[in-house]
Amino acid sequence: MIKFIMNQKIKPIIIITVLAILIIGFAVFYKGAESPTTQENKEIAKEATKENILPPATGNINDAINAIIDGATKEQDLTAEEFTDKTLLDIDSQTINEFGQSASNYENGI
Amino acid sequence: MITTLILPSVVFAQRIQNNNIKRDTAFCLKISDTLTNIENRTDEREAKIKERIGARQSNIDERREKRDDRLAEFRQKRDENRNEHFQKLMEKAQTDAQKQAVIQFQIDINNAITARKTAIDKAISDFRQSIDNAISSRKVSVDSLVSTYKNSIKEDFNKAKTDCDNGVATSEIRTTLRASLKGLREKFENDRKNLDKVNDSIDSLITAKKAAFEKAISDFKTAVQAAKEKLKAAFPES
Repeated sequence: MIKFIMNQKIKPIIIITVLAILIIGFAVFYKGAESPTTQENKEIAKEATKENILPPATGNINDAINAIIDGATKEQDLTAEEFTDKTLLDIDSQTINEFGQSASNYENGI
Repeated sequence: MITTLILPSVVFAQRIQNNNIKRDTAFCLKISDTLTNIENRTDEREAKIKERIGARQSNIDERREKRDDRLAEFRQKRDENRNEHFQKLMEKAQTDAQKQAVIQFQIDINNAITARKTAIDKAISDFRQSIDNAISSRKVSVDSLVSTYKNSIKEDFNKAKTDCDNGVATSEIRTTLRASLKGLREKFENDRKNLDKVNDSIDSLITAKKAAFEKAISDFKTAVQAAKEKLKAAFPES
């Protein structure tokens, strides 16, 4: 009887625990499986926030100069992203390799 | 007695010969089917290459468009922010000389910014052109690799077919065909490696363009420094 009552009390706890583990597992998996585009967009959004912090105008010469230099530096960072396009050049490598193997399993099977 | 002993051997030899003939005939009959299978596979994989090339172009176009929009927005906000700074400086100017110095400062800074923007835009445009050229060149090389490979396979199989028709020993045809296919695969792999050499030229281009960006920024900072000194001369208390 006591065993039965214990089982009845433990059951919901076990179910809740299993559900919690499943939800956490799903959340971790989903986060890890985010597409590169989503991650890239998040990075861009983060960078865009930094870019858009504008130095307030105070009438002080040094503040004005710092704002102008800051703009140039951030623009340089922004434009440097252009070079990342290089990584797209050999995006077809894998498929080209596969193409070159089209007859390989016939080499010994003929 | 002798017949009893010899006959099974003769029959056995005959069977082996028949099997060889059957296998030889099967090999020759199978050649067309094998070629068709390989051609189907090459067509399918060629389509995948084209798909990747198309995806790369769309990706590059999309990234460039996003970057252009971001840069335009960034510049616009910075222009507005800079004008606010100019306005505040002008509000602080008490004398005509100070007002004149602020106007001159504004002209000097705007000129420096225009020069910087022009240099950066040119570096970006040149770099994009080089990437486009590298992609076009790679595409031409890939097309050539693919068509050479496909044509060579066809030629090798056609030769095997002709050899079959002319009664060349199957073992010889088979060995030749295998060696040809292996040679084709190895040549393809070597030629493919040459494609990656284009990437090395992009590396040196990136170094050159980074240097162009740095020079543009360095020239800009020099110009800003000169403008600052002139302005500070008009505002001794600052």
